[in-house]
Order: sequence, then structure tokens, then C-alpha cells
Amino acid sequence: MSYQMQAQGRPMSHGQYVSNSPADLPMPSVKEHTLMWQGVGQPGYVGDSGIQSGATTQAPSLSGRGGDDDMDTSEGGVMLNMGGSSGYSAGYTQDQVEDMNAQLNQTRSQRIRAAMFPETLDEGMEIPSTQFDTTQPTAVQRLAEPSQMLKHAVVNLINYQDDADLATRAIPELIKLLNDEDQVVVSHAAMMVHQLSKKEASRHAIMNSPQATKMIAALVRALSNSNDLETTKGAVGTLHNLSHHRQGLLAIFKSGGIPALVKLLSSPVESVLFYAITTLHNLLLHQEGSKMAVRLAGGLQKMVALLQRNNVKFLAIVTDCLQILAYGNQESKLIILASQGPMELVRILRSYTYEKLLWTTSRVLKVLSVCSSNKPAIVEAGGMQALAMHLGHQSHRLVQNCLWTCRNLSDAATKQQEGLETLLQGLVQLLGSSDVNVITCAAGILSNLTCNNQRNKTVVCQVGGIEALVRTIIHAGDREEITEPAICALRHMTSRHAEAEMAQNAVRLSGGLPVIVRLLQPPSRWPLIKALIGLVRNLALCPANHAPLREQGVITRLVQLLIRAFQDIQRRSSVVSSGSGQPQGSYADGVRMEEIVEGAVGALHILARESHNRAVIRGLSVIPIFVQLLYNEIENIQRVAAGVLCELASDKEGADMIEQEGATAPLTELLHSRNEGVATYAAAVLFRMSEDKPQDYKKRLSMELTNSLFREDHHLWNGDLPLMPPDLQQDILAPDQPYEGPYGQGPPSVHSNQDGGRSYRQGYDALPVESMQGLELGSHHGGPPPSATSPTMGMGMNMGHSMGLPIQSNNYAPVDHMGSDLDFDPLNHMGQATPPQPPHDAQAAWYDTDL
Amino acid sequence: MSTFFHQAGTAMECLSIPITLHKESVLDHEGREVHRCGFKIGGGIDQDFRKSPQNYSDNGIYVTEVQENSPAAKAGLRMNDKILQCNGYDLTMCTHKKAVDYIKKYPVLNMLVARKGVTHS
Repeated sequence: MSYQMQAQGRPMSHGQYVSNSPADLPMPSVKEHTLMWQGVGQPGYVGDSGIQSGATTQAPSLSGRGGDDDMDTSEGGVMLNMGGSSGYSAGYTQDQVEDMNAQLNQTRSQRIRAAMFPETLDEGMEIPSTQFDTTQPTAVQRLAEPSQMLKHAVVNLINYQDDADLATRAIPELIKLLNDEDQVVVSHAAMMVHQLSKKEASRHAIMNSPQATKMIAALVRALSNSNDLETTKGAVGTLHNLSHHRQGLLAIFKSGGIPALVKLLSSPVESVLFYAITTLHNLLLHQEGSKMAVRLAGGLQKMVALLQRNNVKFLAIVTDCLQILAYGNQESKLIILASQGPMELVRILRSYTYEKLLWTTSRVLKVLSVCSSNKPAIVEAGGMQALAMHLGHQSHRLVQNCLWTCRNLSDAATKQQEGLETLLQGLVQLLGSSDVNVITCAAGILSNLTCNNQRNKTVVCQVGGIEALVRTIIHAGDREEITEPAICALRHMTSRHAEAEMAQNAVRLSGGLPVIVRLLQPPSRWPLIKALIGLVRNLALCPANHAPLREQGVITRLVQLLIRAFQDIQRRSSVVSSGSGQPQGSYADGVRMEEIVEGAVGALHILARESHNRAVIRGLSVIPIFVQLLYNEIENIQRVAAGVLCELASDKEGADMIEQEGATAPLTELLHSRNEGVATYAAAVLFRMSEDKPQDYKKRLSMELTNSLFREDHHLWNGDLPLMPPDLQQDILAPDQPYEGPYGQGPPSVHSNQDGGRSYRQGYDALPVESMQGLELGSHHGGPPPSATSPTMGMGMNMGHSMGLPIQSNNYAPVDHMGSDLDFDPLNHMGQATPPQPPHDAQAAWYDTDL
Repeated sequence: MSTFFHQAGTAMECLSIPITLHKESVLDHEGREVHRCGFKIGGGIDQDFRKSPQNYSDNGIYVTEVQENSPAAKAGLRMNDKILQCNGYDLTMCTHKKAVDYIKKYPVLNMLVARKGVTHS
């Protein structure tokens, strides 16, 4: 556009124009082109550019009709500003106002240019600011940033199109070069493609071109065939850039890029390695079918080998890849195991502190921990302790994953494990967390770890686990996912370890008894009730708990549960007998009613050691049920029923009531049971019932008892000494009849045979629960079914007043078959592991043989 | 999963783990030399698996215990493995005594074993 140069130095800033700059603004002549651009000298030029004239400029947003309005308003605004905010006294003459306007117009273009194209301004040029109120920006100032952004966008668009065009034209040529035989050519071509792929437009051009697959195939081939570092870097860099887009991923996958990338994982060059792993990671995340391809190409083994490097971000990507590959795929988990994966992963957990890496590693371990082959390997590598290190971490997702993994592993970790103190202590502390998931997991892990493991039980007691668990249970209210494992843990800790008695007292002292008895009421479901009954039974082992338990009404509740379970069994067996088919156990919520019956009667048995409790039990008219239970086929139930009757019979009233219910007949039957405990209890009850009978009755009874208990083919357990309590024996030895039985006198020996394996012990330790398949928060219970157990011969002692001994169980391994000559040397047989012989019964229940 | 719910006598196909166990010579309590394997088996078609404490689900021969540092442990046998075959004898349909006999017969055992969680998910 033509222009006429006006005089240099346009009039600026005179008068009452507020300005922060000196009156004189130099206008160097180098600014000619800007003047031209402003349209100075144009007809109609009023001193600014596009606003008024509407001439085409490079400031589209401020052009056009609206400009006039803007002008007006801004001018008006300026006027207002001028008038109002700065407290200028009004009273400009019209001339002065016009003068000011003119000056404003002249500087407007400069201001706008300064706002939109700051890079075109000279240094040092100052433009008078029109801002009158420093807190309120002018319109131009407000529009400065948006217009700059717009400018950049337009520039980008123009460049983009250029790049895309260039790339599209270049691709066929590049493909040809990549396929060239000369390695140098290939190398340069690869580098060029890499450069192209860095920019977005050309990248899209590459991916969307019809020859994309060819291009990528060429790259992959270059990767596989070349030894040249530059080629490799260029090719893999390109693939990396392409892998950020869906089409790129698809193209890479289809061109067989994955095997080539997996091969690169052995590269010693770090940048190549990083590109390769990141590309594989993107493929695994977003491309269907990549997982299988990576597995087939042997990617798993290589990735596990890479775990030995020490760049934390790199490791985070590798572990994430492993997690994606292993999730839900058994074979992958086994491959990781075979490549020593667990050991490396545990080492990572121990050595690093980068949160993302710890989190991804814990996820891999979580995925592996549901595989039963990986579990022992992880535990042996010290996985539990390593996970314990991070239980106090700030990152919630890390803590949660560690807990889930621990829970999955905890059923494999019960056997061994010194050094779990940190873990147990950490778990006890986590019970106080505010997150429900955390509490649930911690309780579940504690329950598993304390199962059948004396050391863990003692440790947890010592770190205040009992109090913490009781508090947790109180706060949990009705939430069974928390209360059930917590109650199981308490149940484990209140029996069969050094601090059991302390634990039994501690539960009471922490105020646990009321809540425990309350939980026996609805809406608690059967698994929880079963656990509670076991706990009550253990608590009742401590005499100081008898009165508090009674006051809470636990006896009444136990009897209610017993009646309900018993009726259920009756109903089911009557249905079965009328119909056909095998009577399965009556299950409710996965719990057999027989277990409930056995548990409740067992708890009542222990509670009945105390005389007030006995009175309550008598008053509840439950003795008939006990007598009925004597007819039950399950030996455990017979035993506990006979046991509770034995306790009740120690009072005269009790003995009378029992006899009135016609217990004599079933008890006499039970004398012949092959289960020693049953037989012994039955004998004891009969004996007590006979206290005030005539003498000859007593004598006949003695004979009967002697015969039945000491008969030839009765299985005697390790040749133990007198099965009779001292007082019973004395009666047999009537003063005028020297008793010439095959037994001598001597202290009855008490054996505790632990090799019952995973039998249903009296301590009511359930089996550790199965690990959570699918990594979900699942249910906890998985106790063993009750099996036929036979107690040890601890009966010898103190049968007079209470069965003080914890009764162990030795189940399916049948006892040593002594035949007719009874060996009376208990010391020989104490703890001897003689191979069990098959019993002579034709009906072999189930036994195993040592080989 | 039908590997572990197998009806003895019916056809079954499954993956298995091959285990080769070399027995060790030890002296028993009477001084005689015996070949010890170091594991216990339970089960058999004459047994009632429902009474097993480990809750087995069929009449197969199961490993109920593996002693530490025994030849069985070293060979890779694990507790609760189900032995499908031993030196060519089919242990999925035999009595307990017969299984014991087969196992005691040879000093080296070539067994095929099924393991939950490994040979099937």
C-alpha cells in the first residue's frame, strides 16, 4: 500500500494527557514499515490501524464493524476513566478532548501491536499507557493474551500444513531408502524419519499415509538387520513417537514390530532400551493383541532380567509391563517365577523409595500372589517383611496394594517366619486407620497369620493387638467384613500359646465381652456366629470371665443358637429319611449347622465348669437336647455332649435331671465308642449318676465300665495308663477285692499329639483362608469341615471336678494298634512317630501311609 | 478342574508335571536298609475322600505330606499333589494298598502329578 510519509515525530502526549512516559517519544525511522503497516498516510488514516479503517491487517480480531463500536465504547470508556476513577476534575473543553482522542488514536496501534506482537517492538520504546486505574486493565490489555494465543495458533496451522505436505511427499522416497542395501543410506534415512516423526504434522502424515505399514515394516526390518547404532536409534525413536497414537500402534503391531522391540530389550545402549520399553509399554496399554505377542516373543523373561537395572523410572515402566502381562494369565506368572521374578521384585521393594515404582511393583506382586506356585517363592524371598516396610507410607494406593498382597500371601506364610514382628506391629497400627478397606485387610491378615502359629500369636498379644482388635470390633458395628476376621484373630490368640491366658483376660479388660455377646444376636450371619462361639469358648477357659459372660446373657444366647441349629438338623434329616439321596450337611451361609451345634455345646461345656453357670444351664431346659445329641453320628458332637453332661452331672440336681431324660441308655452305648474321649466322658457321667444308687448297682456298673473301657480290641492310644480318674478307680478297687487288672498305678500321662495336621482342633483355629482370587476384597471364611477327631488321653487327670486340659485332636491317623498285650511304658511312646497301621475295621475311613 | 473331581475309571485328559524321584537308602529302626521317599500318600478307591481332613474331592492318590530335605522335596513333589501315574501304573483307579505297593516297588519313581493352581488355573 502506498503511503506518504508524514512528518516525523507525530505529536504526542501533550496537555493533560496522563502519561507515565516523557512527553517526547522518539520515533525512529526504522519504524517505517510499521508505519506502513499502520497505514499512516493512507486516506482515512486517523492514526491507528484496523480499528477504525477496517483495513485488512494482521489483527483480525479487532477489525471490522465492531471496531467502531469498540472504538466508541473504549473511547467512551477512556473518557469515563479519565473522568471518574482518577478523580480528575471535570471540565475539559471540547478541543482538549479532541486533542486527547487524537493522541490516543495514534498510540492505539502501538499499544495493540505491543499486546499482540511483542516481538516486533523495539527495545526501549515506551508507549504511553492508557491505564488510569492501575487495578483495572484496559480493554487492550485484557485482550492481549487471547490475541497472542490466536496468533500462535494461526502460525502453527500454517506450519502444520507445510510439515504435513512435506512429509507426505517424502515418505515413498524414504521407504525406498530404508530398504536400500547400503547401511549408511539406511542409517541416514532412519535418522530423517526420526526427525520427521518428532513433529506432530509429519507424524500424522506418516501414520495416515497409505504406505504407513510399508514404512513401519521397513523400519522394523532396519531394526532387526542393522548393527549400526544410529539406525537403531533412529528407527526405534520413530516407533516410539508413533506409539503415542492409535493408528501408529496398530501399524506397529501389524508390521511385526513387537518381536523386534523385544529383541532390542537386550541392547546395551540405554537410549535404545528406553525407547524400546516405552514403546512396548504403550502397545501393551492400548493395543489389542500385544500381550500375546509380547509373551510369544519371550518378552517376559527379558523384562524380568531388566529388573536388575537401577533407573527408577525405567523400572517403573518395566514393572508396569509385567503387571499388564501377568494379570489373569497363569502361564505368564509361572514364567516370571521361573526367571526369579519374585526375588527381584522383593529386592526392588526393599531398595527404592520412588513412590510410583513401589506402587507398580506392589501391583505385580499382588498379581503374582494369587498363584499358588509364586506364593511360597515370594514368601521365601522375604516378601512379607518387604511389604511391611511400606505399610506406613503416605501413598494410599501403595498401602492398599501392599495390604492386598500381604493378605493373599498370608495363608502361605504361617508355617515359618521369624522376623514378622514389624509386619504384625504395622498391622496392629493400621487397625486404627480411618479407611474401611485398610482395616478389613489388616484384620484379615492378622487372622491368617495368627492361625496355628504360636510365635505370631504371642507377638501380636505383646504389641497390644488384643486391645486394638477389641476397639476395632466395637467401632465396626455391623460390618461383618471387619468383625469376622477380627473375631477369628481374637479366637486364635486366646488359645494355645504362651500368652493365651493373658489374652483371655485382656479381652475382658478392654471391654470386649459386651460387644462379643451382642454380636451373637442378629443381624450377624452364621460365619461370624461360628467364630464368636469359638471365641466365647476360649474366653471361658479363664475363670475370671465366667461371671461377666454369664451376666451378659451369653448362656441364654448360646442355648438359643443351639436349639435353632439342632432343629434345623432334625428337619433336614427327617426330610432326607422320608425322601432318598445322601444327606449333605445342612448349610447356611456356607456354615454347617453341625458345626454350630458342636461349637455351642463345646462352649457350654467349658462354661459349665462354674457352678452358677451350671444352674443357669439347668434352668434353660436344654439337657434334653444334650441327651438327643448323644445319638448323633458325628463323634465330635457326641464328645462335647457327653462332656457337658459330665460337667453338669457334678451337681446332684444335674445328675438327676440327666437321668430323668433317659440318658443312661445312649451313654451306655457310647461306652463302646472307638473314640476314647466319648467313651471316657460317657463313663464319667454314668459313674456320677450312680452315686446314690444301691451298692450292687454300683458294682455292676463298675464291671461294665471296666469291661467296656478295657476290652481287648479297643484302641488304646500309645498304651497310656489308667483311663479312669483316680476316684473312679478307687471304687473299682473295692476294699476287699484286690484289683488285678492289667494296669498298674501310676500317674496318667498326658500326651499332646500335634500331628493331627490340619484337623479341626479344639482351639478352634480355623484353616488359613484361601487367597483372594481376582484380587478382590473377598470373604474370609474358609474353615475346615469338622472331621472325626479323637482326643488325647488327657482324661486321666482331674476328672473329678473339671476337665482342665485343653483337648487336642489327633484325627485320621489311627492310633497304634496294641493288640492284646498292653505296653505300659508310656515314656517309650511319648511323642514317638510310629507309622500308623491300617485299622482293623473293614470300613476304612481315611488314612495315609508313610513311604 | 475335572482333574480333581475325577470319577475313577472314566477317561480324563489333563496337563501334568513330570517328577522323577530318586529314593534314598536309609536304615530303619531295626537296622535294615530301606529306600525312603519322604512323603505320605492318602486316598484310593477304597477310601472315603469325604473324610479326608484335607478336603480332597475325589478318590485319587494324594500326597498328604512331604518331609523336609527328603528325596520327594528335592524332586519337586509338593503337598496335595495328585499322583496320576507312577512308573506307568495308573494311580487314578487303584486301592490305597496297591498304590503303596507300586510306589515301593522301584528305587526310582517317574511320576506324573497334577497340582492345583499350576496344571490348571
